Amino acid sequence: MRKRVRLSAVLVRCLGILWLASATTTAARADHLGTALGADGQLYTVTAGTFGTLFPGSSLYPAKTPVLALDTAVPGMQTQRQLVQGTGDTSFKSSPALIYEDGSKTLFVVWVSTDPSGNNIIKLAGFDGSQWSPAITIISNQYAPKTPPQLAVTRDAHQEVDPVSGNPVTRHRTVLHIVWSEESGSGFYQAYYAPVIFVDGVWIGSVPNPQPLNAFDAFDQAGQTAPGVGPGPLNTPLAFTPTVQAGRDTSTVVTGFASDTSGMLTAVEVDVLPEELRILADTCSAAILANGAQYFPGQLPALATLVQSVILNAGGAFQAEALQAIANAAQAQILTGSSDLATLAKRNRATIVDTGARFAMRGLRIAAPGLGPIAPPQIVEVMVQNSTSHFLQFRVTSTRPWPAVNANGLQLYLSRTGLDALAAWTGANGSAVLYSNTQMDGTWSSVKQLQVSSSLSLQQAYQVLEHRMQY
Amino acid sequence: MSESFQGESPEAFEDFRERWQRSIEVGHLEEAEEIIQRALAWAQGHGDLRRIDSVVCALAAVAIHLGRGDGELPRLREILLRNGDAANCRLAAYNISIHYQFAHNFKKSLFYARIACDRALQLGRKDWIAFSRNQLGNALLGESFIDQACREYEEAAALIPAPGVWRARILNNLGYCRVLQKRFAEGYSCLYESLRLLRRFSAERYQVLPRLDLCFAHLETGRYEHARRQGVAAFALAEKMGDADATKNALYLLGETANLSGDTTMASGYFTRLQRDYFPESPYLPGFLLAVDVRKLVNLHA
Repeated sequence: MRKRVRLSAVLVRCLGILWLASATTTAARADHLGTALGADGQLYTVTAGTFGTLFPGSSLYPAKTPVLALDTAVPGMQTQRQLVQGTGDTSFKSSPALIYEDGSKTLFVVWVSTDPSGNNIIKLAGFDGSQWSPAITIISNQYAPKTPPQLAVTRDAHQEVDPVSGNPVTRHRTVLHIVWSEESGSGFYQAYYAPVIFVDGVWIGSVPNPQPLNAFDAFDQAGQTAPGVGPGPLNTPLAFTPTVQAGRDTSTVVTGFASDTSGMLTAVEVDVLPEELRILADTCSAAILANGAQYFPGQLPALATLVQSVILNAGGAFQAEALQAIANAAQAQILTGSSDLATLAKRNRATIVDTGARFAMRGLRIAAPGLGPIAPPQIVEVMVQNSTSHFLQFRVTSTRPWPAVNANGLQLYLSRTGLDALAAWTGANGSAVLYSNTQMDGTWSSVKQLQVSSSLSLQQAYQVLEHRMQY
Repeated sequence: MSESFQGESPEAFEDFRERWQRSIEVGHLEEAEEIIQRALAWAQGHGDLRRIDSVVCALAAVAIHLGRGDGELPRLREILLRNGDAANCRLAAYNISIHYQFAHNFKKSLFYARIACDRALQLGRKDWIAFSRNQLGNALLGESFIDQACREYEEAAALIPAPGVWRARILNNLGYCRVLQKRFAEGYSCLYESLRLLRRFSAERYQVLPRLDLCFAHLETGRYEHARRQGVAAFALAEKMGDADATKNALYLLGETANLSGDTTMASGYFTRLQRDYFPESPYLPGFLLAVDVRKLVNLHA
């Protein structure tokens, strides 16, 4: 049975009223996510409301239908308003957010859709300037209330051989990273991550099951509070404000979330592993399956040599030293043998991806002295029916007890490396932004404040703090 | 001699106790508080630690019900930890449980309600067992353990067969659970009996909740005009009592009643008032409630 709670809690959970209630600042944040600049200078704005209010005079839908409207403003021209496709049904649409992807020149709209029974799902639609893509649904626990989704984009490109023409072609990949929190069975909010992947501007056709980010908090997973945090149950408004931001390069983002179970604030880097690594792994796996039968299981050293040769030939995109390390790992794995050739090929593929992934972050080990146990990195394969996979690596970059904060306009900012964090909120009368940031020794600073004045608005104060973390 | 010290015999104290309990029972909490203060002066004047503890528990109970119970917890915990008089320990645990219930921390409420229940069982007092079981039910209901809560309320009701405010409050809780279990006939029976008793004993404060529950029950069974009547009565009473949570619930239920009756203008009016008075920074709330039926998420007793 779904847990029933008091009315205020229902509304808080369904609408994020707690965070929006007093928040000029949150409104500033919402404005930020509700506006995006297009490649040709178009300013996009998304608004939620009833059809009758947003489209007066139109009878396409009943006036009280909750919809999303997209406004496109081009300098010197009248602002154009259109319905966000797929929002004409009876469900309530909230927390709309926009992000513009320059590579595919596509505007993405993400929102939370709540049906008349109270079920919540996150939806996404793309607009390329003339056409809308069908809405994409991110499947998670539909019964769980969700916080407004946060967005970030990564882009990369690689060359591969066109299977038809045999010519090299450049493929552009865009990943839309979405992070939100939702209520778990225990009543605590937990953070989730889902990638939406596009290749050459076309959605790959599936979204993997959302990754629970709390899985990267070792104490949370053990059901324990971290040492020094005090006994549970704990409660921080940071649990409702997970974040995702640009990472240290164009292939990475950093996510941050707080756990009411452990009392920790954890940052996790999501690294979209290069397609070249997947291609190398797939090529090697195919070679083992095609030619391995003559060597398996009696002549494994010969098969290992074959694999090394394939890797060195197909790995032109890699630095020689990195490629040699991958080849060595693959050879060693072959020599351990397996029950059958298919399993051997599969394991070898995993070994190549795993070894290649270790060269992310310049091959350095994860070091977070004094910050408690760190969950090991995890590689997730996004599998696509009748197409190639994509690999993501999740890696904890920092974890520490969360700071004492206030829920009023609360924002969490991370540094690009995910090592440092800053939590900011609005003072009681809106005259200052208060914040606490991590220091050199990993601990939180005392609460500091930025006074709002005629030369520094509340929104600017938040922007100053956000920019401060861009390192 | 001040009025507080009137009467030297323990009967004088018991007279105070009877009077404050009667005032609390019918919901006259401020009046009860005055009587308890006088009883405290009596107990302190006689250096009677057991009675002082008993008065401290009673004062805490009133403060908790009046929404200023935070300061009372250390005193109640001290009585519980001292583990002296079992009756006072039961009372302290019982009041701590109520405090956590009001703070919506139902896990802790459940923990202390169990202690209160154990102590009541040790002492073998039927009425105390009934009160504690009712409190156990409240904590379980807060956690949405409807079936277990029902069992506690049934036991409590069986222990207090005599018509009175306490029986009415227990039947109110049991009736709401029956409605949640879709056992509407039993639900109506309990809720209407509860309301009748509360009216008979002039316990106006406690009539808000059964009226809200009846409004909800009628909504669930599609009797919108009945729902509207109960909702309007609950709303008026909640406003009179200054009960913000009940007022919120009443506005929501009246809006939902109007919405389900097809009167979206009236529904929008109630939801807009709810938004304006309680969620002023969320202008989209009326639109949300017009589009989404959150009835199955709401616990009117949480």
